[in-house]
Amino acid sequence: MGLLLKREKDPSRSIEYLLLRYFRIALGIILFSTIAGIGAYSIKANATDRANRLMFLVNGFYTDLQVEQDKTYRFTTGQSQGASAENELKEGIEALKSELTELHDKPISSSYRRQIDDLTGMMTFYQESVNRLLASSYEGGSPDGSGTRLDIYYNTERIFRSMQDTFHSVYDEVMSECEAFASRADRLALIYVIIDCFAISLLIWYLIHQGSWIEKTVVLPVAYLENELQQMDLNQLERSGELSCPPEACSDIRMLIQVYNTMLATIQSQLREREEYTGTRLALKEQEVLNLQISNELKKAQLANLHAQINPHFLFNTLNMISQSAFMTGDGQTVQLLEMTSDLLRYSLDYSDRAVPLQKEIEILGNYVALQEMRFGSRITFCFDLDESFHDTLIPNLILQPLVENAIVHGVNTMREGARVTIQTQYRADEGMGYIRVIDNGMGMDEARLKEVDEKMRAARTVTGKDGLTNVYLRLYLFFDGRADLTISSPPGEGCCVCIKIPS
Amino acid sequence: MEKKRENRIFAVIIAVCAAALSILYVAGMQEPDDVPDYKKRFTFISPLTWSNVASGVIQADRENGTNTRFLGTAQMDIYRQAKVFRQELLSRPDGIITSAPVDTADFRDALSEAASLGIPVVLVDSDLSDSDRSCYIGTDNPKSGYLAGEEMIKATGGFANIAIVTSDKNYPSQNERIQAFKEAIADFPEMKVAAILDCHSERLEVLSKLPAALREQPQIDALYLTEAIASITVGDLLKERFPGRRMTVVATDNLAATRAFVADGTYICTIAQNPWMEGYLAGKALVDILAGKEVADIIFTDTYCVTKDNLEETTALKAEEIEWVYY
Repeated sequence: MGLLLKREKDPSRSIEYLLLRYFRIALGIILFSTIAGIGAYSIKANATDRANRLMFLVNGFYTDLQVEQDKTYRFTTGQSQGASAENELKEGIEALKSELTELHDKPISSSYRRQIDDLTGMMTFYQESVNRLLASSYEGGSPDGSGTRLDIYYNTERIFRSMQDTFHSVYDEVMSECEAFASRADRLALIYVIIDCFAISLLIWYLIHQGSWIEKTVVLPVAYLENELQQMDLNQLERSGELSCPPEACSDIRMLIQVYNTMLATIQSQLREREEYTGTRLALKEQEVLNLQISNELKKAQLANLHAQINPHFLFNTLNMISQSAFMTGDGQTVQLLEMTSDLLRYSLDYSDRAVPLQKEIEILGNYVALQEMRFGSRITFCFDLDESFHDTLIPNLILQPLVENAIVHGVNTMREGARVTIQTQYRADEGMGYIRVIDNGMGMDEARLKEVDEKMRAARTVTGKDGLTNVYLRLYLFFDGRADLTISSPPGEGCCVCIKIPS
Repeated sequence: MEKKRENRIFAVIIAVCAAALSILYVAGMQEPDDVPDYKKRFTFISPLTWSNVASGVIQADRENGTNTRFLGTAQMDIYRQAKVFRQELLSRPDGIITSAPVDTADFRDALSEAASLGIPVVLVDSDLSDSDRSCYIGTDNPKSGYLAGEEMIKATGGFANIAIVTSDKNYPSQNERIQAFKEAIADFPEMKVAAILDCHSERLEVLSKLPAALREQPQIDALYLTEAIASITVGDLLKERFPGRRMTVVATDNLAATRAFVADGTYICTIAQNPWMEGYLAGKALVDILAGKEVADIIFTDTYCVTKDNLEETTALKAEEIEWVYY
């Protein structure tokens, strides 16, 4: 089972992996957008910083130029004099020149560079002019005779104005360059911002999409599992079915469900085994009881059998003993009676439940009739009207004796004289049937009684009959497989006729 | 396997993102490229805004690696031009290209100042002979005037009353053209110059002075336009205000409007000069002078006649976009 579970588990769909990936990607996007934001900010900040530095330099030059011109004015007007003032002037110009050199290297535009070069050219004139001013005196003017000190000052002033004009163009150039740079930075920053927006919308989309996915694969399956387990009835484990696995469930949940199902199946199979075991044991016990009963019955039957075997022998022995005693006393009639009774008894015992020819049956019936004649004497006359053409037909034994007995007991028993019992056999070739009739001239039966007897007799096909007539009917019916029949007729005042019809 | 593949994809995505961000960042932080440096600083001080000349100078700049500043004005003023010239000297350029449409002592002085500072000056279009300029490059004005005269004779058969529309008959270049024109027609007694109109290269002056002259002197049946502005103005004026009057017109310069009038027959021809070539050669000449090479004192650009027949062979002058600094 361990192997099976291992095979089923897909590492790329486990909760751990899903969540790890989820947070990793989310963090990655957040980091990315943060970096992009910082990038946008730094680009903007850099552009601003660059513009500030450039403007600082440009404005610094302009301020220094004005200060220099102011110093020149103060020198000319005598407000500042001496070596220190001269040095300051010279140093100021050198500083301005180095500032121009610095400005020259800024990559702004050709016209900017051209103007800086123009300014440098002017600065040379300016320096020359200032030098002349420094060398001049109030009285004598310039030593090279180029004019009075004031003339020289005006010349510097003129160059200064020219420089100012050019500077304004430079200033414009720098401004527009800074603007261009800033707008370029703005564009790049905008790209960053767009990327950022894209990343953030991606993040939001991812959070929602992946969140719903995790909900589908983890949260809902867990809820489903919890719900299913809550509904489970621990007392009816055998009835709870397998949990179906939600198709989206992650591999961990799948494994849980699988383990649950396997466990459930195991428990259920164990329960079933136990149940089967209990059932088998019960059945076994019942079987044992039955066996005991059967053996009991068997013993009883054996005993009954023994009894049954003993009784006839005892009866025959007794009859023999009586017969010998009668013979000793010379009572020949009794001996005859006993012999006939004995024959009758033997017949009933020997041929019990066996088929006999009709002839044999009539022979034995003769014995019985002889006995009855002895008993009733002249009160009852027995007649035989026999058609022996079908007397070899096999019939169940002892079917005629009960009929004759019935005729005596129920028919003619009460008659003082003139009673007659006729036994008649007749074969009808056209029907292929043999008829056996027992006719008495006794009191007969009214119609209701006749009907009752007939119904009772016919109902005995299913119910085991106890009286003689029913017994005979049933045996005939079974022996001839329903082709034989027994009918009773009793015309009023003419006694009763029982007719058996058998196929021959 | 699945996991490894996914890790690889993650790594690639991270690398791509990092690369994209880095490229953007580097691009954002990068200083602009250094602007192309130039060897020499020139200044072209134009009497007006001569874009055709300036275009030639720009081409020369490109070829020689020089830089030229273009100073122009809307109104021609030789005194202001001289002042600007002096102002420009303060920035000590390596060379100056300008033109002297009017001969003034002031301008000659300015040229001398430049020479004293060692700054070479090339004059284009109009020359000041015997001044301190380094060289002159321009149209051969007498040739231009003479060609115009010959064309006029051809068109009129030696019978014409001619009005000359010029910028200013005292401007040397204009004067030279007019004199050469007169010389060309001198042999034909029936060809007379009836009027010379100074219009100072101003459309308004052309539009007011020429109709007046034409009404005053109904016998005028030919016009010689000696300069470009008159040449682009007169055609429409004739068509709108004197539609019935037969007029033989010889113009000057090769501007698109002028060519259109040649094409529709309003002008019989225009005497083309090549201002672009003047500018181009001026730029080259300055470089040569600074390099210490021998440069001719006067360089003529070619002058030719554009008629309806050779209109397609010649091309109109195209001016480039010039960043003029107005003075």
